[in-house]
Amino acid sequence: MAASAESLGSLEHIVLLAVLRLREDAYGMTVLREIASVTGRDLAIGAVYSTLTRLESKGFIRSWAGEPTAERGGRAKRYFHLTPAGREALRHMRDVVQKMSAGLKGLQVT
Amino acid sequence: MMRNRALSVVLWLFSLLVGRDDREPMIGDLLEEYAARSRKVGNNRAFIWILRQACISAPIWIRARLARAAWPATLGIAMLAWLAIAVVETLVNRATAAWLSADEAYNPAAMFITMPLVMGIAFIATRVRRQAAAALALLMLLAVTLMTLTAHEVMPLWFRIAYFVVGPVATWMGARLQARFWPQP
Repeated sequence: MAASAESLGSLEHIVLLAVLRLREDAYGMTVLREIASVTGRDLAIGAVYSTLTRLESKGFIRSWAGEPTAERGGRAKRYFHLTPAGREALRHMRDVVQKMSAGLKGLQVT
Repeated sequence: MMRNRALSVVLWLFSLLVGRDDREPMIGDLLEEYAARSRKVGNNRAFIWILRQACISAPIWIRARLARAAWPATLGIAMLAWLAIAVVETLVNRATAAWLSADEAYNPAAMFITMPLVMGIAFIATRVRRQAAAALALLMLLAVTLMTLTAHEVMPLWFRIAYFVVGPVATWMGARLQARFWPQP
């Protein structure tokens, strides 16, 4: 598990957290909106989808198709949810950040 | 009307770049966001948002498609293998010419020594990309044909035949050995 968790890039980490925050409503556009509203990062939809696809191929998330709607031109949403491996990867990342931050008095670098 | 047509063109261009699995849900997402933004900030600004998304997403999709495409990587490995063969062949030709005082250009001993080395290189190339040996054999055949057609010097007949046969056969044998002893899942 540690090896796959270590291979989590920073955007993958953020996207995985967004999927976790959104629970049952995680699909491409809501992930993009969530990241924009929380971090202020204005991502490309292409970056979000390619990251989601990569995370799925790593086994950290799973996707399924929702119902098509008229507002989307009859196209279905592709929903995502975390797998146990994805939760473990997030836990591992959180532990790494906590360990690395331990003992630091403030995070001022200047 | 014009705006709808422009939107359709942008989405169509988008669909050309996006992978098959992501195409439908992503265009649906864009349409959903376009409708939401049109209500909030108007059609023009919503269209500019879609246009911007297309521009900043295009390089990401092009890169992803290139990375997924098997043939550039296979061709790249085949060309690296070819380069390795060229280096090995030159070294063997020089060595045999020096040790055996033989003709450097048309030397059967050099060809016999080179053949297992080509097999070894094809063996490794097949390990990296399954079709690399086939691409390498094709490259060799193409190069030998071009060299034969354009060469001004008179080559012995045995050399012409051997040159056509030895490289591709050694490559094929290397790939077969790879499949036999180290099959890929």
